[in-house]
Amino acid sequence: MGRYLLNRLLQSLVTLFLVSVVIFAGVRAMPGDPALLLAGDDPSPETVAAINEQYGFDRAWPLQYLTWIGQMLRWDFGESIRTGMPVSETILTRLPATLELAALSLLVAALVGVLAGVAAAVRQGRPTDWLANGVALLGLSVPNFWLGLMGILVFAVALGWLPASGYVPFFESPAGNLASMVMPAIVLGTGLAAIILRQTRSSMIEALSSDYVRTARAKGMTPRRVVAHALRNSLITVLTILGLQLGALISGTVVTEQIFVLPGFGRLMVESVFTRDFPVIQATVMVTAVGYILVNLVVDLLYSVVDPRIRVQGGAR
Amino acid sequence: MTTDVHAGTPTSGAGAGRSQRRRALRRLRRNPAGMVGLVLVVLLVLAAALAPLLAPADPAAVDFDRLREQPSAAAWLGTDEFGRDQLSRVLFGLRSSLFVGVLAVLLAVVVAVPLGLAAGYYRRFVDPVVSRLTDTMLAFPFLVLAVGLAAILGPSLLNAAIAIGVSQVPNIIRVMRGETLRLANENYIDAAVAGGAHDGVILFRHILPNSVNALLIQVTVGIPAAILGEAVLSFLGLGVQPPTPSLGVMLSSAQPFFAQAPWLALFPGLVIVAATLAFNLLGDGLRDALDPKGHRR
Repeated sequence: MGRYLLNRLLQSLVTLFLVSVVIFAGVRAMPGDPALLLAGDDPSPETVAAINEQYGFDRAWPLQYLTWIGQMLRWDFGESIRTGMPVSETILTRLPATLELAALSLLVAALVGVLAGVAAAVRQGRPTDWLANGVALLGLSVPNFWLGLMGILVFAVALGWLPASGYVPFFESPAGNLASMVMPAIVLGTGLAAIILRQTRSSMIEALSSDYVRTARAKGMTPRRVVAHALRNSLITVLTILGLQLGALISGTVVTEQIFVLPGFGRLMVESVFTRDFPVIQATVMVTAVGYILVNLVVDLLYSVVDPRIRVQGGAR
Repeated sequence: MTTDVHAGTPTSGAGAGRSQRRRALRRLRRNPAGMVGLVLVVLLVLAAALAPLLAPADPAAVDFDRLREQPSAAAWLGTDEFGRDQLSRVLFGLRSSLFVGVLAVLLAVVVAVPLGLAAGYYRRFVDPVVSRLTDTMLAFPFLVLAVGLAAILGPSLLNAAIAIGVSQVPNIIRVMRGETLRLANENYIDAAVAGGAHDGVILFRHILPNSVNALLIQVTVGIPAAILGEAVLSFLGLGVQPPTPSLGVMLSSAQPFFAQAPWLALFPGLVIVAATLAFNLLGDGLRDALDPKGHRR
């Protein structure tokens, strides 16, 4: 376990380094002089020089890189060009909505996906199975933002049951918070639910035809307990999917926030591109990548706890 | 000399592959869902290719007397906020969406296949480098990558295709690496090595043709994902730019009016669903046909 852990940590560090280099180079490849962007309209040469000095744009690239890393380690991402606010603070105010959205949609996806997947596997080849497969295929094929638009049309515009957009913080009004998050969570969770459904179904079918399930049946275990038995082994797949689909989930929050006008992290990122607010672009992309690497590390470690064979194989993916 | 060795390795190359492929085709023909997918894909591709002939009107023709008209006999899918014929725009939109989708996957295949082959074959030196590379790429979720590229290169159809393509590179690398690992132990590879074939021949003449099935499956997974990707990017304003019609662009411009003119958001969306569903059905069918023992994912 120790060696596996060390190896995996080292890999993550290398990836982190590469990611930071890519972002650093990417931001410098952006068209336009950042000092001119920061200086605003029609700056004097002195102002530009002062800004270059302040931000260190005139220094050598390796030095700039190290300064940048050092600042980030102290949770300092500079200031937004557009608002003048510290980017670190803006990020913190934007994260709760995104994290809540991601958590709720994961919950929806896992609940629906696992239950429907088990139902389909238990009734393999029968109408329930066909229905579940059909719905899953549809869920995979529907763009989530279009689903969101249609949801708004039906439940907000036509029926008036749910708000079309906006976000209510949980501590302000739990009920209002839930009402504003129901549709976004379902919209974002649909694609993921379809993937979990298909994976749960196939691994349940495999588990149900295995020897230990036959033994359990032979010794007279009730069908319900047999299913529970098989399900335990299939649940690892949900964990795997979480690791594999994390990128899709992050992308999904960006779009979903855009449609439902949620003040989240993803919207911040998209806004920053349109306003060319490069400290914000740089920070949001970096935070996302670090988050991705960390969650995947945790998932991999959890995975090796759940399934010890992974450690033995040295974590080869 | 080496050519003799190649001709004498029956499992490699075209001979056995062809009959295997014929059997797979037969299995696909017996799969109703897969056939529905195939027919739909052919129809959609035809509709996109023949858009200039099929479209009842010029998709760019503005008519301020007919703003946001409901679907009618004159304009089957209604007109948009500039009075443009919606059916014509859907047809041309499908054209750019399919184009971006296929282009993106093609880009990904061209980049990823050599990397995957090399990673699987040169396990000591190339594999770790490629693995870190794919990890790095994966750390940029597709939309984040697209956002970054749009910031650097500016939003456009081509840059959307690049962003989507790059996001699919890691998956294809993984598949090709796995196939190479599997095939490198086959006897006919040993025979080719013993016959003095150099690495390029082994990788591209022996291993690549034998991993075409796995690659094909990955491509049919990639195309619908790319179509959805284009729609999302264009919807956010990071992909195809108006006035070029694309299904995502149409949904984006429909959004402000969609309480009054819901059909403007309905039809482009349905076409996206049809296109991705068609490719997904075909992909599932192909997977069952080419890899009957494999699990459906």
